[in-house]
Amino acid sequence: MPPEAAAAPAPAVRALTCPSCGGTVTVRAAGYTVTMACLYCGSLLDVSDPDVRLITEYQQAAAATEIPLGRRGTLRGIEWEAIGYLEKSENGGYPWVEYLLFNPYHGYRWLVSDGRGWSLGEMLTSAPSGASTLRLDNESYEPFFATARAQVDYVLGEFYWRVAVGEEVETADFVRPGWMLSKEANDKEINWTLSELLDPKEMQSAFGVELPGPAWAPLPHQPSPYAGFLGPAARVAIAAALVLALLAMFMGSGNLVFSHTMPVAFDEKNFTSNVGPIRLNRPYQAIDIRTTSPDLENGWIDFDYALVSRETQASYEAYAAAERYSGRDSDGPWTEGSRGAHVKIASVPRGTYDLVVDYSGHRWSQTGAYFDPRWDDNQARHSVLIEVRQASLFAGNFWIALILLGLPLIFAAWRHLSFEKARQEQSDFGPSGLAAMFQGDDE
Amino acid sequence: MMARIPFGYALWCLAVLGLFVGSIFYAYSPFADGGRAPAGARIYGPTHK
Repeated sequence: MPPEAAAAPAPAVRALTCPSCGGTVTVRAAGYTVTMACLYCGSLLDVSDPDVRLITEYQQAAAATEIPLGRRGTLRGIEWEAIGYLEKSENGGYPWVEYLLFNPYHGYRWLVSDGRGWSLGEMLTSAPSGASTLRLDNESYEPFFATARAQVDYVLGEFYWRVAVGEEVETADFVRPGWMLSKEANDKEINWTLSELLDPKEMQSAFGVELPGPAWAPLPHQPSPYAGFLGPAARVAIAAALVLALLAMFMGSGNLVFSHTMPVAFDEKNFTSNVGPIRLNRPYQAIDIRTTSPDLENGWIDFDYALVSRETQASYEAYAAAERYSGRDSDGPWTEGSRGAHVKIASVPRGTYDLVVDYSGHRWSQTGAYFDPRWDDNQARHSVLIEVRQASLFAGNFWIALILLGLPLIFAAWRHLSFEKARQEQSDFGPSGLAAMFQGDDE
Repeated sequence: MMARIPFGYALWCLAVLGLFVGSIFYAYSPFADGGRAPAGARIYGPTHK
């Protein structure tokens, strides 16, 4: 655990001479720092010894770190100074860097980056509870990286423990959106660090680091940029869908304006019927024309409609056919089609109209097996009921509006799931939840 | 940024609802029926098997 700097006297800056190269090295957190690396030769020094003992001598140039040690930056309203630098990896793989930040009144923090973003970590003074899923301060953290061995590959600067290249710890990571809970354990102790994902612009402003380029995958604890949209948008979508349904219910009603029964014979003879007058009182309306032919069987009736305005002679034309067939085959009896026909004419203005209906009935007797004996008599007369309704709503418009309302939401949900799939695929535990449903898409 | 997007989505929903109300007022639909039957183009009879 790091020492509590706030409770201790403010440390003094101390200068010492590197026993390896003779360079003057400044200890910024004197009193706390135990080991540090020489800025000039990279030698690892034991500064707790008054004579400054050389621990390890590295005859290599100090690494050109992205944040030069000694640079100060303000994060979360606190000014921090970068005093230590570590490069770590899992046996050479999955490398990342850690900067140790120091403030004499707030102690130590970690800046961690694997090249895709920065996190600000604070070592915890108490361990989280739970076994698989961990809980800390009423927040849950899901397991992400299973237990692995991490090693120190490079070290530079000051630290509050005796750090050395090759030092190994056992690590495990747990995440929730925006936060990562990391465990580091060795034979002597277990340390827990809680890291908060930082806005890249905040890091750029604080320490002058460059904005990260496009990442190959989201960070393990990176929140989906679509998650913040989906919740409020879903509520907006539900409200809009309810309004849409209410509009359809109260504004889309229709009423019967004319009903008429017409004779028909199934002998291909043409009939003409003049239905009207039909008085339409709305500024604009849809005209719904339905016919029902109760005796239609194995035949069809063609209807040609012309809705003609008595005032302007403007004509609105439409066509419909009622077809009904039935029979029996090896699978048993079957039927096809309908004895009714339905058309809907849009945007008919207010006025008085006549509906001119040209229609003719036909028999279907391709094999004779389906022939209806009632039709053998050309003198037989059957009837067609025609009903004209005044309406304003087309069901197709309702469904189009519903789809248009949902499209942005569906797109955002798809992007969110793609993001979560890419994020969770890095986990040693694999995707979970809805993202798991899309796991096999690319395979 | 994220707060602006739901607001933009709410505007989108309002526009869709507005178009829907407009379609009711004018009783308009792109799927409305109309026109005479094309002569000789229609095939009658069951499509059953």
